[in-house]
Amino acid sequence: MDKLAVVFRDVFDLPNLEIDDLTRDNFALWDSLAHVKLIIEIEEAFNVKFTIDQVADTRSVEELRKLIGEKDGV
Amino acid sequence: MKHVGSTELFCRSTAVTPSLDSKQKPQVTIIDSNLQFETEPETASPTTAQQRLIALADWSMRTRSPDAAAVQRLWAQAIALVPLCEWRETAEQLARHESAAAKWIGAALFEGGREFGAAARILIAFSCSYSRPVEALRLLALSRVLIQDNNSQDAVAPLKRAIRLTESYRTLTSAGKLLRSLEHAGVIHYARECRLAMVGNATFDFVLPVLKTVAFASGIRLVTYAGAYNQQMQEALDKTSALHAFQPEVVILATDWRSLGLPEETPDADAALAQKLADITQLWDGLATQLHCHIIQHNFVVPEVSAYGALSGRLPRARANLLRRLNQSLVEHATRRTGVSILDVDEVAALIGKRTWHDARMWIAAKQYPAAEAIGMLAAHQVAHLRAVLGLTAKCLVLDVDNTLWGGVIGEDGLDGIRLGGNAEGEAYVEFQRYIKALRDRGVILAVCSKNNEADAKLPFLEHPEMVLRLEDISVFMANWLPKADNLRAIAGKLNIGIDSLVFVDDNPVEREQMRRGVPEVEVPELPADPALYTETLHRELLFEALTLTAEDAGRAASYKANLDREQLQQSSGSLDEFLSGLQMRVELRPFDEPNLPRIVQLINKTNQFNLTTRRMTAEEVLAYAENRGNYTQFMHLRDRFGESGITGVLMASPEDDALKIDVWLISCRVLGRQVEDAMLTAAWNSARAAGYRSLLGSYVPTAKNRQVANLYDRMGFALAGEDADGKRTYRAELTAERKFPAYFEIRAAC
Repeated sequence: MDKLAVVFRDVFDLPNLEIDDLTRDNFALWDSLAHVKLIIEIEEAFNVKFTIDQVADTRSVEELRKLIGEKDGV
Repeated sequence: MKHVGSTELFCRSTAVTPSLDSKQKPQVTIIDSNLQFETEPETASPTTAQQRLIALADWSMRTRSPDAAAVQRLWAQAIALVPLCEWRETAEQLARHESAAAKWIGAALFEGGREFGAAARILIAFSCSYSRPVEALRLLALSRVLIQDNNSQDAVAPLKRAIRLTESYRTLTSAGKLLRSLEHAGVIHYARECRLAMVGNATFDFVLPVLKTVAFASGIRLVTYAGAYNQQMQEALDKTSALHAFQPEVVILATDWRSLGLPEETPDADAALAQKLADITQLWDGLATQLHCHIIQHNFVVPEVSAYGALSGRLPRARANLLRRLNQSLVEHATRRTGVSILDVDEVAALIGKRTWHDARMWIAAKQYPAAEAIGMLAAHQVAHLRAVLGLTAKCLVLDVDNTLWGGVIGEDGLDGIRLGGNAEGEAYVEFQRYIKALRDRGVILAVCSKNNEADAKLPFLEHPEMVLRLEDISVFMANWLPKADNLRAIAGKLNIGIDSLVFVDDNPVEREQMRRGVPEVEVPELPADPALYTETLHRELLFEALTLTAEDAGRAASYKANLDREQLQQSSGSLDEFLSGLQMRVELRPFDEPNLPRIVQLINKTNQFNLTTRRMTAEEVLAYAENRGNYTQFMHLRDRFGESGITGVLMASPEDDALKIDVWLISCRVLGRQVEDAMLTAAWNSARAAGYRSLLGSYVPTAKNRQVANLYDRMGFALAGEDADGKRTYRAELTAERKFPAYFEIRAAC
């Protein structure tokens, strides 16, 4: 079960959202406000903490998955 | 789309699409990633889902008091297991088990299996009063399953209580989603709507949704506007700005210390301070004159991190020192004006902890302030402050006595047996009484509601040496064996205040629950089992926050005693005339003036019953109205032989062609039944006539609370000019002859 997908669907309120190909450039709803919401939720859900440049520079689901995978969280 | 191993719950803000079978009700499901869906870890010895469920159930039956984190984690685990194994038997077994954790898991299993009614029945049958966050989660879960069970009506009350019990950002965000679902279902009724703008040098997109959710729990519907980053001055002055178009009633100025541009050390500190203060008051002026709104100014949180360390506070020129002086000056300046109040966010930051308040990454990345975990605490204080601005603060504290004001039961333990003072437990109750007494001294009305013989209940008030509260501190004393809900209604009736301005405090959870069911409008805070914690628990509910203390506030409790004397006079008088003459009332009628403005504004915003138009106005609006020379303003001050009632009437009228139109006319519930309306109208009538107006116009706008004045203008000799579909009536009276004041008043009229 894709926890990251659940977070995205929660933040954007879109229950059937497919997230794998989403980026900040191709998904209009993913603005800076949504980005901060996503970061807060992801940090809580995966028990990880992003650094300031990771927060600022991550622009796609692919990058997020990679980042989360690298962290030590549960 | 369904995912194996999860329960997807979503909440849509658009219309719910009905299912194909028109006989079935549309499915409501709630999405919430706060439920911490667990990914199954790879293990060396894989266990089946069934075994995992048994292990979970086993753990839960041995755990009496799970904490919030455990509850959320396990709820998600249970839900994830439902599609994978036989869960029903386990769920039923857990539902019957006494431990809270077992009931949690049982309810979770039923929710996962979409049997929401069963889940609700479990959740409603226990409480987690050992932990406020866990109790909040229980009530949130109850609300959620009720919504999914298509029972939105019953989901409102538990949602409200859940919100009041928590400061967690996650829980409040979840609650916000449920709130939107309930609003969509049309089951939310608000006591008051308020247009609120938040401006300053931060992003407010996280704060405002939480603020709306917390405001809902206090009956306030917030319509909000978030100012563009750091544009507050421009938006205030530009008449075409979005802020202007929004027409806020209240503006929260959330500027933080960084906006001041103060370096670590400032060479000419006094001049710098004066300049910063001038900038701020200039913004107040701009907002006030352009928008006629009330301003809530955040003061400045003194930052933890500074290169100067403790020197920052010690050196007269250093920043922390300046910020503290500035905060002090803000309070002084706000006190001198109407329409501005200071919210001490430095104190709020201290309460949550400055390290929690400030998230360096969030500030740098998004100008987000405060950090997510601090938003709940900030919102609670903002709403308490807002309630005070809107005149919605609770007015009366109703107290149980046994194990609430003293340890033990007076009817059984007697005067010597109850625990009050002396030992540690007794001291806890004394502390609680001291707090309550201080509330009374600043204008909160006290009442007692106890299941006792009256003589027993009164005994400690009269004779126990350690009692801080005395009988004369209690305005209404109800000790009987009737249901407390009935007594609460009677108390509200006797005091002539709305039932929703009462707070009920009782150590007994059964009584509390009965009160919540019987009189849902009354605020019933959760009390912990330990009396040492009563005071801080009641305090943290922030139910009695006030902006100012008027003379009326301070004297309120004493004035209720005087009312009892008046009641006695009434009972012994042969006729109404005899009673009214016997009161020896002196009525002063004067145009509005600055010193009395706070009290006048207070009355305008909180009077419900004798209020013809229920037009609410901010201090700025009232001031603007009064400064308009064409308008007529009048406040009424009443005293009689038993005491001062103070300023208890307001009348405001403006010209409309050759008539004078009464826009606001209200009288405090405290002085009803004395015919003072006659005195007020007579003064306005004669004044209008002398000024050359040909007629006097009035209107009645019906509300749920002002039925008693529906026919007032008719009784006063006005002719009905028209009535519209909503029941609003307009009246007219020709100012042909002068009116005479009733004989039983001594009148001093300056208008």
